[in-house]
Amino acid sequence: MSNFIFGRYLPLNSIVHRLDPRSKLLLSFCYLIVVFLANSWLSYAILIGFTLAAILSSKISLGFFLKGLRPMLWLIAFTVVVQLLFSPAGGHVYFHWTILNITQAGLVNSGVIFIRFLLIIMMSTLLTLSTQPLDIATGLSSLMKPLRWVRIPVDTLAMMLAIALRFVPTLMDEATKIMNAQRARGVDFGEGGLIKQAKSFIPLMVPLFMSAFNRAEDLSTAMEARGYRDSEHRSQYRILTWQRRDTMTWIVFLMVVATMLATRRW
Amino acid sequence: MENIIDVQHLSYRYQDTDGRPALDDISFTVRAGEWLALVGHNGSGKSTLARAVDGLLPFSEGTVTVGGIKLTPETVWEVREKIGMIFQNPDNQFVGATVEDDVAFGLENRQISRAEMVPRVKAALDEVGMQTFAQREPGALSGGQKQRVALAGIVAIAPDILILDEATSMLDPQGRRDMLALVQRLREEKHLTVISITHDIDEAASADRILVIDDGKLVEEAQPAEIFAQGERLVHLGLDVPFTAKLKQALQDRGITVPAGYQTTTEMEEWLWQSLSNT
Repeated sequence: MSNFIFGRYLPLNSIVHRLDPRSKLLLSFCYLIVVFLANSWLSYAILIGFTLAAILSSKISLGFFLKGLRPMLWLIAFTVVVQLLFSPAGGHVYFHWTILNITQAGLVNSGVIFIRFLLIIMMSTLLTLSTQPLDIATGLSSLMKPLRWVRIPVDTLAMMLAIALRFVPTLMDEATKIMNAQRARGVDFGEGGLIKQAKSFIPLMVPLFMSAFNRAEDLSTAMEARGYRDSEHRSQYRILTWQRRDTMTWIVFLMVVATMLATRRW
Repeated sequence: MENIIDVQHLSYRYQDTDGRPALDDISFTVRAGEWLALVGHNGSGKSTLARAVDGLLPFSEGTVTVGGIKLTPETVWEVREKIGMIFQNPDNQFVGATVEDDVAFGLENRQISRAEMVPRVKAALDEVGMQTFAQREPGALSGGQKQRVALAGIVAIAPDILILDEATSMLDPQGRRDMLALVQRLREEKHLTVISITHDIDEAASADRILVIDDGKLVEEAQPAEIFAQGERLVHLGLDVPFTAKLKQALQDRGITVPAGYQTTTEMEEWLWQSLSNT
């Protein structure tokens, strides 16, 4: 439980880390669309180049990105294999058996899918590795500000998110403590079949929920005592500042996108 | 000196326990600049009393006046401006993601501009000696440090009254002493009125006056010296005797012969496992 790092943030001091979280969030989102616009080998080569440049400038070693890929490995493999076997006829047929074909078009398609997966996972891993969860929350709420006009309580949601993030480590510690206490009473976690394992978590969940509710009660009293009325009428201590490096990053990104679009098959 | 808090005939009943009232016709006053200790057993109503004074409980009988303002649902925010409260569990009152965010929380609620907040947060952290921890997350702090951050949050909003609701009870002895020394110093510098709810003898001894609450009633009011002169009766008043003494008492009540005299925790541990392995 303790080796689980929330959001897997890696505190380093690179230009990528120092970017405004809003800038990183928006860029990751746009990148998602851009990846699906690429269709020629050259346009993919340009995106791969951009992604590698982004990773290098974050000073985070490639090993962490490969670790980020690991949980997605089966999904990627499955998609690639399905794409390979069930692709439409086209080009040279290498293998044929009932409804399964391996064709040249299938090979190309699965290659494309593989690269798309890789690029998107790399970029979103870069976002979470280089941005603190709290900054992501602040960035998101700042980007969602316009939703106020359609009466979505953005500030309240942001406050809830921030408090949830604040209590993740506290509740993790609590869970570890309860697990140890239950182990001392002879409960085996992670032993036996799936149902037995699931059952062994009941003596963990009940006290954990009890304690979470007590904490919530205490916290709301403390917040009220400190003058909290609602989230809409508050000033902000933590502010985000758009800096020159954010503008520069976007100029570079838009140039890459333009080049990519120029090399794309229309 | 004028009375900064004036409580008259205050009664309160929790809705789910319709039996005896949690507070039963309590009246007392607190002078400006005084340090008042509230002692009593768990469930005696002392925390309830503190919460009622801060307008955190909607009492129906009696009046509470804080700094000349009568507490009503309309004036509750005005009254809370004058009171800073620190609670028992250091973790459950830490709202911000980092130390400085947490200190700023009260200022944010009062819609103070960021330009004014930054120096006030810094000054408050300086005051409690936590300036080097400004960027730290609560997980990286000890209980005592978290309570100091809570104090900084109160220093930042500069109230007249500080209420400590068993604020030192979850700290180790050193953390407890540091916290008390800090409260003493802040009290002198900022001319604070302090109300501390406590089981701790040292904390009660720092007070100018002690109120003893039992079963929702105010049963005694005295100087610390008068209270401490009563020796054995301290236990009945709800002040803490050392843990080993309580354990021995509990064992004796179950008919177990315990060694006479005073034992340290380690000696008690030795004796316990020895007698357990003999049975």
